Amino acid sequence: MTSPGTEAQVHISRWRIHFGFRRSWLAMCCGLMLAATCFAASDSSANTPCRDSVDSYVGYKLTDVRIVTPLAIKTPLSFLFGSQKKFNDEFDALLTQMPLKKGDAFDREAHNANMEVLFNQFDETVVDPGERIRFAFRTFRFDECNDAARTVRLTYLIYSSEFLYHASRIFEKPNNRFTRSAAPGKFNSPGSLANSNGKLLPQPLVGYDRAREVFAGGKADFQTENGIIDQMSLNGTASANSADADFNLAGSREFRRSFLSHVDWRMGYNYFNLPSDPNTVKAGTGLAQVFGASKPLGRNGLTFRFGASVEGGNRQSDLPVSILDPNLVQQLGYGALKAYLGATANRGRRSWTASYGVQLSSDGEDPNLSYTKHLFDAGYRLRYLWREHSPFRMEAQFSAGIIQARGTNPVPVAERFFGGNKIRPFIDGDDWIINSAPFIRSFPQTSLNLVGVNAPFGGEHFFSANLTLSQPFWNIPAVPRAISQEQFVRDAIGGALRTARTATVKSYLDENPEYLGIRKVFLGDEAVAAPANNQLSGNLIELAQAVDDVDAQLTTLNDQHGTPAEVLTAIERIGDEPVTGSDLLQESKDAIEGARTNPGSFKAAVRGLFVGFTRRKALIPRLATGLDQVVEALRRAQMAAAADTLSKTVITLRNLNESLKPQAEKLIEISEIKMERFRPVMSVVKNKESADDVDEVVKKIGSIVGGMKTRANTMSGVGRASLLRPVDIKLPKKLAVKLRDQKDSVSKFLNAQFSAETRELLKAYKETAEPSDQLVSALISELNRLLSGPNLFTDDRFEDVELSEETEELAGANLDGAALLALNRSLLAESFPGEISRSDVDELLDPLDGLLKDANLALTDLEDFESSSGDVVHGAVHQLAVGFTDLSLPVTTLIDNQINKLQPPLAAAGLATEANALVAEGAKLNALGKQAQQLFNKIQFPEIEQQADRDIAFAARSLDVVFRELNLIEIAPVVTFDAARIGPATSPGFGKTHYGLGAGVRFSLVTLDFTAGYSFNLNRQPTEPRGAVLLSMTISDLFR
Amino acid sequence: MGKCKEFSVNLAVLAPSNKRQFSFGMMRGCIDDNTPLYAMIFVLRDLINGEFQDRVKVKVTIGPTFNDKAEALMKRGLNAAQLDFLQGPLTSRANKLPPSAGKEITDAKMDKMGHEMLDTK
Repeated sequence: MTSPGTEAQVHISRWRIHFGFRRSWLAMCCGLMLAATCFAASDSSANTPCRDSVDSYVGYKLTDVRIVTPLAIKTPLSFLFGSQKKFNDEFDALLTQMPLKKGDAFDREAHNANMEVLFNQFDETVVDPGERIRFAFRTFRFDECNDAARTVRLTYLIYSSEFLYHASRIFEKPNNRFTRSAAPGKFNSPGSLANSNGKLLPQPLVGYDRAREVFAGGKADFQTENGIIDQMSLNGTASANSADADFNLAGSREFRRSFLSHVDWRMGYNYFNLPSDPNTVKAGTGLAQVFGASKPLGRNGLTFRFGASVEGGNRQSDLPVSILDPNLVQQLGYGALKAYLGATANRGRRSWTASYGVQLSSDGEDPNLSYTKHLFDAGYRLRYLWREHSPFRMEAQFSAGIIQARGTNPVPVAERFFGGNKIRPFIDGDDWIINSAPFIRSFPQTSLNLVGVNAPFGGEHFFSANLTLSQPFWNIPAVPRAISQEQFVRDAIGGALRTARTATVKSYLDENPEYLGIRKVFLGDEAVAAPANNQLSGNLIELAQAVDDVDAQLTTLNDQHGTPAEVLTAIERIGDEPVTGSDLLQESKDAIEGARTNPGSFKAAVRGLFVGFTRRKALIPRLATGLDQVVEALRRAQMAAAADTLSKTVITLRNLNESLKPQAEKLIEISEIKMERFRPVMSVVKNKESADDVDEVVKKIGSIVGGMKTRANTMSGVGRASLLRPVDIKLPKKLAVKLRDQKDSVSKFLNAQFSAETRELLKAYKETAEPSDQLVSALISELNRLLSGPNLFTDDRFEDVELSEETEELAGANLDGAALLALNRSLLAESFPGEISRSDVDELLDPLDGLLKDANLALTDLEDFESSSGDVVHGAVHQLAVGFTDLSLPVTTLIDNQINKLQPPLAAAGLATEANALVAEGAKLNALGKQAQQLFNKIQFPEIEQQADRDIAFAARSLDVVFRELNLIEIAPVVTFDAARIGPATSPGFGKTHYGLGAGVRFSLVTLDFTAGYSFNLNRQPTEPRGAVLLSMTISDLFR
Repeated sequence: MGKCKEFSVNLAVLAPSNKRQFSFGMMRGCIDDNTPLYAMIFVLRDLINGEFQDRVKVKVTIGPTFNDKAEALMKRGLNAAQLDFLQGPLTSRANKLPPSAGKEITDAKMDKMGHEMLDTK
């Protein structure tokens, strides 16, 4: 099986190519380099470094406001990306909707509104079946910051999986195969670029091959929706000495509930006439084929492929009869039955393939078997991401084949094995390519043909082994590192994927037979007469009727004159329930209507009606309770008849609730994992009987961090017992404005304590510029004077400040010296949290604090896990200990990583003992997390969840590639090694193994690879070429 | 280093039937460098007569008071009960609001329900 990325290849053999072509090649290389340079220049930040603080650019004039996405790159190759215009048009439309425009002064509120325009734009998106899951991430950056001119360029960045979907479909249709199993069906959204139905898609093609010389032609595809035949294609190329062409009609069917993922069928005709010096091999073949694939099985996505082809036609050769072996013929009819079985599996960035194919052939006239061909093909591909966006790639391939003639039956020369630098597929037209000829890149196409002196008629058996290694040395990541390595980005991706899992489980649940059975009970059947004697069947029809009765009775009471105020008040409370503010009657009606008419909201509506939510009890019991109060009010008002009527309806409501609530609970529990399955994981995560679980270690780390913070109170220099330095004023402009404007009591107090000179400086300060050094230094000096004492705290002064518990505790104490300095510094830092740093130690510990908070929130959700719902426990454990590989690491690993980062600066700050204790606990936590992850992976989840996990794994893998591996542009040296042999030899000295060693460079544009190199024939024979140039254009499928 | 920087994440999932699509998004806005503000959007669409039409569309803004919980939701993702809450009570409330001609409507009850959703398990 050849690598899936070897389609669309153009090979050029030997260096002795036309000068004109060599010039073209050089021009193309220059163009590609230019593209790289253009892109690098156009998208990199301006030379003037921009600050991280967004607030510091408030008021700056915007020299431009633009939207950028990786495909909106202006390069000489832009024409390759048909989707670019679509994106640009969309972006232009979005820019007109944004309140903040070019020429405006930057304003944070308007900037938020711009972000919201981008955020809302995603609502309208329609996911294509081939995508299944679409992801978009948006952020912004400042470019070309100029503090002197107070100008800045605002660039909004959009990273969407949509562009990758289009990028992977630029040249070839076969990429469908990777997502086909996950997204059956042929639905295409009308506005989608992927919708090629009803369109003729012509593609011109020009190429060069040493054997064929310059050839040209094209291909055209036409697709229709549905029908047995839904695709027609015509391909053809010709040169002065060669031609090939094929015409096909094809159809396919996808399967949702079957071992099979899809089956394709195809009828067609193909012809080739190819030189094989000094020979020419020709063949014309009519064929009928069927191919199929299983759904991916197991964690490694093991997929089986199979196919068969019935073929008939002729095989011809130009070799003089005089040199032919007696068992070979120049021309012969051809009839064959070909069949194959193959398998592929993926694990992370590794994939394996293996195939066996057999061909049973006759001469086309005699139905008896003339010869049999056996082929074996295996491959291994590896992308080792030793550094993000710099994957080491290895591709290994082994192919072998043999022809077995039956008795003295002749074998046409064209059916023998000719080797060279082009893959020859066993079955044309299938996207599962089994190599049927020796592949050796040091020989031009079909040139490895000599098996003896004057015997250029190919081999009866062959083997070839190929190795390709590459390592990028220069790249521009698709997602800039500044964004992809931001922790909040990775966290948000993890959260989004977990949400997607929840929604996907729900989607599968909507099709579950048990779920559908319960839904049927709820919906009832309007055609069936209601049971006699006021008996209830228990369904939503009856509930709707009861609620309508309530509505009618309450409306009558409301409308009639003389209804006592007490009754009206009770009725009013149903329309505006105290505490929740719910309109119980209307919400019940809406929920019943939703459950009856909207299958997608059925479960949500039923939960709301009968089960309720954490802080919101079920609607029907609440409605019944509210109606009880109306009944009581009616009775007190001597309106017995109305009270009795309403009371009967309330009884009906309660009866229906009693009857339907257990069904609703059952509905929610369908497919939910049994809690005991989580017990092994919980023994590591949160185990009351063990002191060595994740919970305990997180507490220990929290305690060490707490200890360090306490010590910071007495530490000078890096702790809080230190005077302010310029570096401690994080946002001088904001601080100056606050102290000048005195809008809060702390600012007012501080300003009043400042000297007259400082107050004058503050008064004169205009926020259109950064504060002068004189003002900053005056402020630091004034604040430091106040920090030294006395205690700044008074209840009134700090009434509006959200002080930490620790500071609040110390505030009332009688402190002096370093302790007082630390308290005053904490009070100031907590009053101006963005503007003044608390201390170096606090700044260092902040990120770890955030992670500990995440861990503690997850652990809180695991309290009494047995009474929690399965997906709450799943979410908490997943975030804590599982994560999505390196894309979104689990919190336990993040804590360990953060601790390791902190160790040197903490040690340097004089907290070596604590830092070492942290490192030990961090390592323990990481080990426990990994243990929990292993146990989590062993859990046998219900089938529905497994299906959802497979879908989400695909999305997570794709995002992992985008954020950690994909490059917009990449240049990598390539090394190739080939070995191939054909035989048997007809003369001594022939039939030996040939070796080829090559080197080259690969230039990649997103997933499109151009490789140029030269492969040397290491054990060249006198009549053989010195080597061959390999020029290839391939699409690498990184998203498998 | 300013702590708050605006960004948004959206994720849309097409159901296996190809007839239903849901999208969920969270946006972090910033009042200033220190004060984030979260917004959440949920859209459920069904394929009706060959076109996807909105069944449920809810947008909730979660103010600074509940930032910790909103951030936790962003990192953890929605659970099934939260999804049901969005599709149930929140949608019901959203449908009651008067047509806004494309403009945002501030609704205190809706915001309160948004906070309720954060606590739903």
